[in-house]
Amino acid sequence: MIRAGRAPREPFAVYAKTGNAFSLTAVCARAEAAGLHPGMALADARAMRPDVAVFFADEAADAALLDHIAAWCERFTPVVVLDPPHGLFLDVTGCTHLWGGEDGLVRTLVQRLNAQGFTAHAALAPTPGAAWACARFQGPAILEDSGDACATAQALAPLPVAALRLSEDADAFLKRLGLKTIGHILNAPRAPFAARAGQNAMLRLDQALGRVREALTPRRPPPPVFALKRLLEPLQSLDTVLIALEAACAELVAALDRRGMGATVIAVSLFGVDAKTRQLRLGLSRPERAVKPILRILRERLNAAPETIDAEFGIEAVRLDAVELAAIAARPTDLAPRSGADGEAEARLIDALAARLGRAQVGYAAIRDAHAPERANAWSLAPPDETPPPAADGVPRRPLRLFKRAQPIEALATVPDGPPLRFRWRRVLRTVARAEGPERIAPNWLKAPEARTRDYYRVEDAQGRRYWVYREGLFDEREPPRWFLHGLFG
Amino acid sequence: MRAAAATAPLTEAYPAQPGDALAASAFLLGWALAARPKGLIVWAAPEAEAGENGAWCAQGLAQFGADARRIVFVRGRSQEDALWASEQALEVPGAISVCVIASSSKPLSLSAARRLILRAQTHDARALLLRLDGNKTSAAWTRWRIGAEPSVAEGRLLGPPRFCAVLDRNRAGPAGASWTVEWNAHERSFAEPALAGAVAAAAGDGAVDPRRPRAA
Repeated sequence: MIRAGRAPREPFAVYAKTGNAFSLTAVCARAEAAGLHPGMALADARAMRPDVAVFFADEAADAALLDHIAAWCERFTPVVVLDPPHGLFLDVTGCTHLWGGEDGLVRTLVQRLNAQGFTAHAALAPTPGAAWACARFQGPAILEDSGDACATAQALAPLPVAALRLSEDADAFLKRLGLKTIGHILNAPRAPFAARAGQNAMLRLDQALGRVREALTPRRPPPPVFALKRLLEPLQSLDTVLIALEAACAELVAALDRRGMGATVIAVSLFGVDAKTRQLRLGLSRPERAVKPILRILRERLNAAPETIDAEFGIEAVRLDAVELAAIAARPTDLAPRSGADGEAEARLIDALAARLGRAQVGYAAIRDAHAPERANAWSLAPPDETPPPAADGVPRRPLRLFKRAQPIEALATVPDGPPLRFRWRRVLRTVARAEGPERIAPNWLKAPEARTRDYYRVEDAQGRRYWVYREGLFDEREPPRWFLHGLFG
Repeated sequence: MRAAAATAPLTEAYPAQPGDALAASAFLLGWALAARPKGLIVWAAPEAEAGENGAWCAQGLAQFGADARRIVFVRGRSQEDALWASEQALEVPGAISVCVIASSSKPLSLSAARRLILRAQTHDARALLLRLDGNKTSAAWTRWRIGAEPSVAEGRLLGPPRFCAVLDRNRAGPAGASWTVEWNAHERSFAEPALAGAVAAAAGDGAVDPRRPRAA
């Protein structure tokens, strides 16, 4: 890979260590004109052209750049396969119409990559192998998929055997036999050919011709359902992008409808003209298959994070992927939706709230099995299974509100082990009229061996306000006990 | 008056004294639980309020008689977020949406209150406001002043939570009546303790449904 932005003025080449020698791995156009070529020893190249600038190959940077280009290519299709060191496969099945047909897609792809400073060759063919061959060895840019292997074979026939992605041994072997083009080996008898050139060569030939399916591993797992929308003009405002997303959403919903499924996780990709991809993930609390609720959550998320859409030159394509699907149980329509609890509306509300405020800000109160009272609370997006019954006598033993950190108070108790008589909290002196306790909560010696025993009291002041206070430590300990206010009752 | 209170789309409560914020909060929670036996309750509050009065305690809620499956708590980063969440909740048919106006926030605008009323009316929902901001202007149909009331029990023991509720404002009837009510966690209703005021004596059986408070 050659980065145009860093290219020096003089001709240049990139070298790497192969075996025990340094040799060139890539040369620029001018260096090539000067007689250098990849595979040449570095010393030879320097002797031939001392003015050529040489750089040591940075494979990690190359791989990162290839991945970046692959991410950019996702605006053409969600299925992009990395083919290191410098190839990409794009499965554009069903995506070409957005770019004015196959021809338009290939042309746009190459033009846009060239504009970014990359030298790119692209070819579109019925099989990955044929496309690989055509792109690298100047075959036809577009091979029509006529459904039979003969047309593909004819197109590939004039290309050299190296176009079959052969191992070096097999390539050298075939050349030694004088079999220079694919046409020479097309009709070779299978068993003897495989025996001499190797199983791999046979497989590659079959794959190129479509006799054997080739499995490719995409860069990211392809979504089961997706909708891609290309915009004629780059869009910059949130409202217009939302209109585009609505159209994509309608398409996605139609596809989900055909499958009878709903989406539980939706990934949104906004492709900017600036070659950056902005991504969002929407989690839904139940499988969704309607445009309105999905769009509502989307709007909240985009409103909450406007920087997602902050594209200097606008957004040129949007894609919605239904990443996770779940079956939707068909339910009868509620003819009188006001009649009672509406579980669906509730779930949608919680989704919308969580989308805008954040998942941690919304939830049901759940009881966690924990020893310390301040640890016994958990928040969950799903309602708890059950709720324990209220106290038998109707007097709550635990406060409605609990301070995260108990607040120190000055308290005065008459008996050393008794409840406080008076205490000062938030600068107000409160006289205790009623008190119940103590409820002793010993520390968890395993997790907090330093913690002291707490004796909790429920106290009520003269006005009827109730507090949950505790004394930390015992009187016979060396350190005097301290008083804290931990919670408030209603 | 009963009818007016029962259909009031926006009800407000505020603490009688600064220390009564929790009493007012518990009263509104009880009101929401009693008003409808089923259906969603959304309790939205800005984060600042939790810092002042503490976070909700799940065990305490259960012992108060609150069904945890009904109540969704929303912590807004700002007062606006909490109000927005409250408004959204009113779109769920039959929901009860409580919004806490924290003491530090800007005064609630009348248009925000009217928006709550409109939404609540359209979706047969109820909006409740807990006014901790000490501001007296509002568009609410009914407005309660809530204070804590000493409990009644043997010796120095604590009894069930009790409140002193004053109907400060009532758009569709007389205002100024006052009740002392006790929360019944099992029935999820407010009851007027026997011998606790002329209202109860005159009324007989003593149960007060918050939707239908008796006229004084």
